[in-house]
Amino acid sequence: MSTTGSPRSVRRTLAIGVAVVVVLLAGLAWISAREPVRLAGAAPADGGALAEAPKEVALTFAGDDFRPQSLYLQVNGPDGAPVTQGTPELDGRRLVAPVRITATGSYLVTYRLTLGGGREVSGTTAFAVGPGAVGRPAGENADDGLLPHDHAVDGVWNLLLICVDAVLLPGAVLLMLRRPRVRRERSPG
Amino acid sequence: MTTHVEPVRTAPQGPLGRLNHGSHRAALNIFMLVVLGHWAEHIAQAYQIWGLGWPVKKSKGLLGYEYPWLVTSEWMHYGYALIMIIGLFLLRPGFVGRARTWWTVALVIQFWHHIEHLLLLLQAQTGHFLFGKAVPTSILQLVFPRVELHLFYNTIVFIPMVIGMYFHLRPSRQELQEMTCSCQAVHRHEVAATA
Repeated sequence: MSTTGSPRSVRRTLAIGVAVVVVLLAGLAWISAREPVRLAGAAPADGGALAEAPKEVALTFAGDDFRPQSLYLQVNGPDGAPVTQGTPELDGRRLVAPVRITATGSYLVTYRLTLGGGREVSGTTAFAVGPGAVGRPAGENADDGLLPHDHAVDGVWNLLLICVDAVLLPGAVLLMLRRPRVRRERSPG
Repeated sequence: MTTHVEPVRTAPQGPLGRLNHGSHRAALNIFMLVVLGHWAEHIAQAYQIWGLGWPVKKSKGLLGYEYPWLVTSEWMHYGYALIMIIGLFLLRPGFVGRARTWWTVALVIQFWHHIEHLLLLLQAQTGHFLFGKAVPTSILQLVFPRVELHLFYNTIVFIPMVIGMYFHLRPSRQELQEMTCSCQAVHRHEVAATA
């Protein structure tokens, strides 16, 4: 006979609880060990100013599962015309494109890498060339772009909602795992 | 040993009746597994942002890490909203008393949530955006633009769901007598104790 609170049911509940914790920890360990691909460095640096024109533009990427399926790197000059020579090439984690720069001014670097599973890394950097040139960063990474209906959980409100749900979730799991039982009504007085 | 209290109501016939009779507990648990899986993804997403310090746009949960299109697809979110409303609707007849009231509250809220997702999906598919906005916009976004609607809606649906489940799986003696589903399997001594 199985009764609520018997050693057998307690052992069963404990075993299920331990299994759930192990699965959760394994999941957290898995995502902790992986890092999304992102731009780690640029030469010339984003916002940098150079007295002499560079011969090439190189972007370095960090993160796991770096296996680009397609590459795009273009540098546009002050007049908007591309100054990239030939196709960009991948050297390890460096995406390199030769450039031919003859004019002073600001240059915009646009890149896009398509990774496996529909992932994409894209963005822009900028640099300036010429005596006394002042470089300005291209701004925030374009990466995936903001969705019109964003499903991220950033922000205080979302943290609060996550906290409420974190309290409700164990309650729901307990209700699922434990045998239904009759609720004892409070006696009046 | 368990006992089934003699049902007051006649057990409904047909697939829906069978679902809400002998298979209600199993169906409820499967439905809750889907819901918990969805929440697990959001918890993982929160961990990526606050625990690992990943950029928000890169924090897409466990599945979203491998398959980002899942998270960015409006179809997927509409699909989940649809599964939720179908599950809440199909499993509702098995609920009685206060549990049914709370479950109905969850169903009503989810119905509206589903309408909002349908509006977003239609805007995304047609490229025609409502309210003169530059992006697909839901109705509540006009009132609460800063609140993350997806989490907000799922939370306010989840709260009455859990309360409904609590009352359903911890019924009063009177509610137990009204129940005809498999969730009424309780211990004989408990029934006697509450008599």
